[in-house]
Amino acid sequence: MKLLHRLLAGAEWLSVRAGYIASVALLIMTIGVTLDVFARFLLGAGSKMAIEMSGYALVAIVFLGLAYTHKTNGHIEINFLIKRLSVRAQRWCRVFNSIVFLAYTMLLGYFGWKSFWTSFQFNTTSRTGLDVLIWPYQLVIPLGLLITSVLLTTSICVDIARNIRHATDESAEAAS
Amino acid sequence: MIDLHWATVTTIIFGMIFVFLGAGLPVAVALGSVGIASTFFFLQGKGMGIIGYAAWDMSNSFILGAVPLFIFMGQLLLHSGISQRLYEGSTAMMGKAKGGLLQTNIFACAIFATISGSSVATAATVGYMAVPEMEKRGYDRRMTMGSLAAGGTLGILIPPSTSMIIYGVMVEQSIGQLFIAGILPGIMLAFLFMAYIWMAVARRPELAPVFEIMAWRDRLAKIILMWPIFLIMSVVLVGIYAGFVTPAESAAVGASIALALALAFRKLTWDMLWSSLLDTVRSTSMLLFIMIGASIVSGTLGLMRIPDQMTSWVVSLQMPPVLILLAIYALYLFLGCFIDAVSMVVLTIPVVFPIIVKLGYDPIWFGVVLVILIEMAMITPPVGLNLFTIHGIRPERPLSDVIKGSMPFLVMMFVALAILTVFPAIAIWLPSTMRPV
Repeated sequence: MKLLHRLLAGAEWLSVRAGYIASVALLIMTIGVTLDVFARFLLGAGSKMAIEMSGYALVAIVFLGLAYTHKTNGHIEINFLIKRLSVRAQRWCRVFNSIVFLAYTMLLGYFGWKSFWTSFQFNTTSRTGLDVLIWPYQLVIPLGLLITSVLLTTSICVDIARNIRHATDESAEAAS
Repeated sequence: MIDLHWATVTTIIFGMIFVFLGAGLPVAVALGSVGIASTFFFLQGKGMGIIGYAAWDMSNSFILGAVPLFIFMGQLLLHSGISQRLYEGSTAMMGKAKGGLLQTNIFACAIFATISGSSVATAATVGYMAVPEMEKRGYDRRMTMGSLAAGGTLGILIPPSTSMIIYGVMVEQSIGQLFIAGILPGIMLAFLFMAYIWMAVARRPELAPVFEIMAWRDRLAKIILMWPIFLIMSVVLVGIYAGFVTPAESAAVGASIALALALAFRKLTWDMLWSSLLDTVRSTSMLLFIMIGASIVSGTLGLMRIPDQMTSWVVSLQMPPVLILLAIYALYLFLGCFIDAVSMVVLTIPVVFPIIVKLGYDPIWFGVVLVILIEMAMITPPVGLNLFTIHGIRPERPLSDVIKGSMPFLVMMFVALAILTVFPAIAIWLPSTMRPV
């Protein structure tokens, strides 16, 4: 159990750091687009680069921020129905939901990796005329989903171990 | 492809989504996993390509870049102490209006809505300032809570609005036009709320105690202190309306101004900056992950031509369009009781929007109507987010107080919906006068 908690702490540390990188992407996006607007008004010279880069920054915000969002319970859930279940059932429901979340994340990561690999092999560039190689930005998708998967896997293990311990404690209590 | 009637397939897909949502799965996961499962079972894996594209296309979007930028702008303003100026300035502006601080609540929410794209943020920001003050002065509790929960919903109708960005991206309509379309209906709804307060207080003066009015000079000083809000409001709204900037650009400039203001007011610390950035990342990641899930589902539905078949079926009923529209309103009001606003939009739009277009309704007008329906959902139990937000300010008191207090405002929203249905020009006139970017 101690090892599991250590692994979970490590995954959470990674999630927070990825969240910080996503934050930096957001700051760069804000400043980049603002400078582009001012350049357009003052110098009459806007660039497509700011628009293109802000798209890539958004990819980083979404996918590198995903694990942090999960860690801080940021995802919307409709839980007024499961709240009516027993505490024990709720605990196992949480494990089941995390497993479905993990499966979905891994599938999405797999397809994200496939897109990246295709772009990498063919040196695919953006369609905006700037010819920016897109694979480095596409790599962010499987990377962010991998961090989320690591966090989900460790939290599932911790939850299962905790649930089993609770069940054992409850049955021991009932026996005594 | 498995040969099943489209109605059966639709029932199975939406049934699965509701089961997954009911089980407490994150909305994004419920949508995405059902989308993938449907592709696998009904299309025998033929449309799997949409999954990879959904993740990349949805997140690599300049238009959707407006979402984090507007959220970031709101976060910075919130931490800059500007909300305090807003409430004091609104109190000064409302002066002797019948209803006193109840009217201030609506007015402050409407003004805050111009710098925030979120209902919950609007309700919470104004609520945390208003509730202690109004309790101290002896205002009716239900009316106080109701005005804040309902006033907060203006946050998504008056631009900027996260819901409008989501709708606009999903149906490929101009976000700028949607924003501008929300202005007049937003003002109308704020007036309806204020009219209700006026009437209620005229009938029962004990709801709002009369308090001493500040001298004109003090009032003016408080109003002038609201300049940062008016500055950002002008940059965002005038910039979009005049066609100087796109919504995403206006959001970036607004956020940069907010950053500069925070620095000027000596509120910009590393902690404040990181906290604003991380909160924005969290909200954006959550919202866009939902949109990725939704685009997988809508892609699957599209490959099976379900929206087309459903539209043909609805048209074949030969019912008056207004009846179909009312049925759509009823559907949203029903769904709004059980699922949150974002999920409601992303879940239904792929199917509802083609019907709306086929019936000849304006997509921009429908966007505004949809936002009002979402607003109604936000104050309808048991899943009314604004109800919980306002209840969270005084959790020791019963939630029923907030619910009962919000109900008359819900009636006002019905009135606004009816007016907008009869007079669609209220929404579509202003965007028709816009200059394109």
